[in-house]
Amino acid sequence: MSDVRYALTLFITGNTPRSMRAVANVRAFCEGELNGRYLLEIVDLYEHPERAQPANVVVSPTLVRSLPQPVRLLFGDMSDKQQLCAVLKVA
Amino acid sequence: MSDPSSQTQDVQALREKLAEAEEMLRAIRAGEVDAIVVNGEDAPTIYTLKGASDTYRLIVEQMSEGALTVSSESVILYCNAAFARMIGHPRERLVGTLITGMAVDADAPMLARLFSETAGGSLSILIKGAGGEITPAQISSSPMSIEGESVHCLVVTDLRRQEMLAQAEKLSALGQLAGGVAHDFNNIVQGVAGCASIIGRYSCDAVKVKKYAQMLEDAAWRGASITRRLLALARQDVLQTEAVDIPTLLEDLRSMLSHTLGANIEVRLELGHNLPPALADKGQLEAVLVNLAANSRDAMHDGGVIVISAEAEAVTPVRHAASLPQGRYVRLAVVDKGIGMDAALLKRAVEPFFTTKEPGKGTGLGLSMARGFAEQSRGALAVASEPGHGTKVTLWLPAAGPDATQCAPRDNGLKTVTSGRPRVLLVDDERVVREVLTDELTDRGFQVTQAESGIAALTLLEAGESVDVIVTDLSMPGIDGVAVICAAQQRNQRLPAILLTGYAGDPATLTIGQRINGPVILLRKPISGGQLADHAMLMLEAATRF
Repeated sequence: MSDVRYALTLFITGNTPRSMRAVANVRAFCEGELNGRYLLEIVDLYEHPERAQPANVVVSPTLVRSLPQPVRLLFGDMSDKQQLCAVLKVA
Repeated sequence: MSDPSSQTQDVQALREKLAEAEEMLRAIRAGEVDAIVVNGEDAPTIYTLKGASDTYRLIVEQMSEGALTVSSESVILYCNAAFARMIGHPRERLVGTLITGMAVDADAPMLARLFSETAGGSLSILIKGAGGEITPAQISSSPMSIEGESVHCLVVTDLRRQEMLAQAEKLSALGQLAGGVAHDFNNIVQGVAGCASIIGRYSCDAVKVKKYAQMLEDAAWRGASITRRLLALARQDVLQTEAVDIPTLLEDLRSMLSHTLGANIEVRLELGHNLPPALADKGQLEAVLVNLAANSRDAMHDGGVIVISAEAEAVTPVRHAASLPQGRYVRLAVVDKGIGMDAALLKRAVEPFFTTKEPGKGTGLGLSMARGFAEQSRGALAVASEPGHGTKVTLWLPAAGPDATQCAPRDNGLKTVTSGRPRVLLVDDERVVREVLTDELTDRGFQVTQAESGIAALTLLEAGESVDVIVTDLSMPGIDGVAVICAAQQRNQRLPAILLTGYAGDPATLTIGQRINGPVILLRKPISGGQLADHAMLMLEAATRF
């Protein structure tokens, strides 16, 4: 089993259904695929708009993978698990 | 110059960045994002494309109740911070999980059914916290459709917390009440103890004994006035209405207030012409006006003038500002130029226990009692105030009609029975009450037989004790006053009976009419010897007419 550790940040805006779906989908993905090898932070851009620019976030929802490098971004409600696997390069 | 492998990596990275940018544009075009962040000079601006409302989001986030959105499959899509605290898990661990997993096993199916219903609903369940602790909670669910997706909006109330809050509020209110009442009672007790001590020392000095005995009695009536005010607040008191001559009452009151409010307070009366008598409980009206005047005094730290006015007012069928029905009223007003109250204070001013005074300086019951009194008297109360400009409390009382009869005023004089020596059976489990009322009635020409309990009274009646009128306490251990009267009236159906009670709201009093068939009246303690004797004589006279 891979021991790669993932640092993920999900940027959302409030409690819109899409934001909430994104949280639920990313959480389910992490629990199912990353097996405890991850740190997931949820950032509400309404509460922390200053977090957008340093992370190059321009839309919401955006999932940012900071680790492993390089940084990768994914957009939308994260409902496409295959795309999540591909972009996050999860084996 | 960089080596070829490094260049290949850079190109690969650029391709990935480009793919990312294209993917982002595709997501925007496909409507898969909610918001776009535009970085301004000072701070980024978030342009919401669709969905969340800042206002509601803030409200939901600041609620003390838990708030959630749950899918029809019971999956938590969103929860606020309060719910996360209630459960003891961070929010990100709750979103995406099944809410049914948070209910105790026995309640989980019931909770799941709530989300399969289209009408929503409410239920009480036990929820499990992170540490295994169980919390009783009320869950209210409202189904709705957001962008075509069926979700349930939930409000979760921690019933334990709600109960604790209610208990804390109750305790705080009781504490304030106890402090204020203790302050008033201590003043009375101080007077009573002092008078009793002086009477003990100067028992041979008839002038001194008489003077201090009168002061003792006055103190006792002041104590009675406090309990009556408290009962009036609970709307369980019975007002003794009579036609009150307002100019006389206000003149007497002004004289009393000018001695008690302090040297820097002037009480001025403004009385209208042709003022009709007001239909009210005189004692309660005095207490209310004294309270309002004391509030005015407390609002004028440097002293000033308190104006008490009285005017006649005819209320027409046109809607009255104080929602009074049509009729003739006496409008009383207590006006000061004190510190006044702002709109927020004014709104709370008539709430029971609300006070701006220091602990122990007032019960906070003054205005709420005044309102209770006004409403019970079929009148109304209005408060107008402005910070820095003073307060005006207006009290409307119905005007007494021309045929209004005045209730028997408190008569402490010694009238005696005019014929014979009626026999009274006096039943009370309080020795002091028994002894004092026995002496009062004996002085007024009655023959009194005492019984210290219901059983003792029944034993006396059983033994053939001859009785013309029975006077009994209502609440006694074992057999109560109603049972004593029933037993006595089984022997003599026309036997006049007087029931004494210290609490007009006693549930037993509500059923007296159903339980007693013979002549009976209910009188409230404290009662003077004169009043009791008057009622006993009236009942005896009525009995002889049949």
